[in-house]
Amino acid sequence: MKVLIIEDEPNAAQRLSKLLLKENSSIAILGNTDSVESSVKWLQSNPAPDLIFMDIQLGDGLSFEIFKKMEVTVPVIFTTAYDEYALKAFKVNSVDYLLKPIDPTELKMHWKNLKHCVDQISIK
Amino acid sequence: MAGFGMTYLLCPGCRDLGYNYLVISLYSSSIWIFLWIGNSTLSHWLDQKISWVTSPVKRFIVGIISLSTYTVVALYLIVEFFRITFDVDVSEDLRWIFISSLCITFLITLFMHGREFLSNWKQAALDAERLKKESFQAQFESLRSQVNPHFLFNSLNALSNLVHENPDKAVLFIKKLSEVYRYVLDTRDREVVPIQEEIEFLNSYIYLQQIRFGEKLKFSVSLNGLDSTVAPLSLQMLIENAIKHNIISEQQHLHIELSSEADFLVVKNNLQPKQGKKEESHGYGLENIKRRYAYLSERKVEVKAEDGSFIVKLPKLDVPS
Repeated sequence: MKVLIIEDEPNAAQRLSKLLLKENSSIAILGNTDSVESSVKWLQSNPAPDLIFMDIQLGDGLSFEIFKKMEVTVPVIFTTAYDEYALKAFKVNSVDYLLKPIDPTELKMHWKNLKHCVDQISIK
Repeated sequence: MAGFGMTYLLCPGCRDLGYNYLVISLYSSSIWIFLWIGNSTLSHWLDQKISWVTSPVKRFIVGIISLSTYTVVALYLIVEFFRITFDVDVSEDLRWIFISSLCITFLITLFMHGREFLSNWKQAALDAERLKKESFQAQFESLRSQVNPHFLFNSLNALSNLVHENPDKAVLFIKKLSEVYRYVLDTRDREVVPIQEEIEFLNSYIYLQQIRFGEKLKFSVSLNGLDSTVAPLSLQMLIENAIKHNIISEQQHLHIELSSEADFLVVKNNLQPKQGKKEESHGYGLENIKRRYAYLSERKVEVKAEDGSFIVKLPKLDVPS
């Protein structure tokens, strides 16, 4: 499975990568972008990933801006420090959202559901 | 009017003199007028020159001496004027008027001094209360922002990443985090702190932010060897504002400089504002700093945006003796 991580704190991105690889070593982390601008650029110039982990607070604004600038058909998991944006997140094509700091057990639990959804979408 | 009344009361022999009565009353009136107005004016002028609040004893002594001198001189001139113009000779009676005028003037000015003195002290007390309130509000706001989800969770998240990757760094991170909170609590009751203390705290705060943002956030602090004081957490609030309102990304790093000019502490950052973000406390931190400094210094906090930079200048405060 190909994953894009959109996260502005380098430590958090690194941590998430490690957790994902630990979960399933066949995951390929395609890259890590840290701003709305660089994420849009990446998505427009690279083949689409299977899944995006997206932080809500990015270096140059809220990641919701990405959806305003382009169409994103890839399933997205939001990671956020607090619940304020929960509702807004579900309006967009979010599969799930995870609270930071990311708990490996939580990730594992969601992963099972997640993989199922992603597989379903790939079949289509 | 009072002059007439006084003459009537104190110079019974004068009553029968008709025209002379008028002159004598005029005499007393002039004394009253010159003493009253003259002393008031002199008193007000002195209030401008010497403050009742900062040097009350000096003000009092200078007041007594100058008002007495003025009174004596003014009376002498009036007496001379009347002697020359109306050929009125100062007799025992008039000398009695002379002395009683002096006494009454003295009492009145004493009363006015007291009133002036009290009103100044009251104002000073009010200002002090207001500053205390502002200060508490600032501490509260800072405390609130330090423990609000943003700062706290972001710090804990950064910490949780560190714990596995680099345990030694994690220990240091925890130390710095507790130093930050300790400083916030320690400075709760203080209006100003020596700048070296604030710098030590800033080093801890900057360390935490640097762990979060890595290479994308750059600081340069050149404030060593200064011995002025600063309002606690004011520099931190300015840094926090810069981080909150500006883009920090791989493509656009944020540089924050803390430096010192002749009479000001300068916080400068390259201006790259985030788009349309509506933070709850937008502008509050800066307003609060401006208000706090308005009580602490005659010079104002300067805020400007020029040449792609955002600059805030805090006036250097004197070290309290």
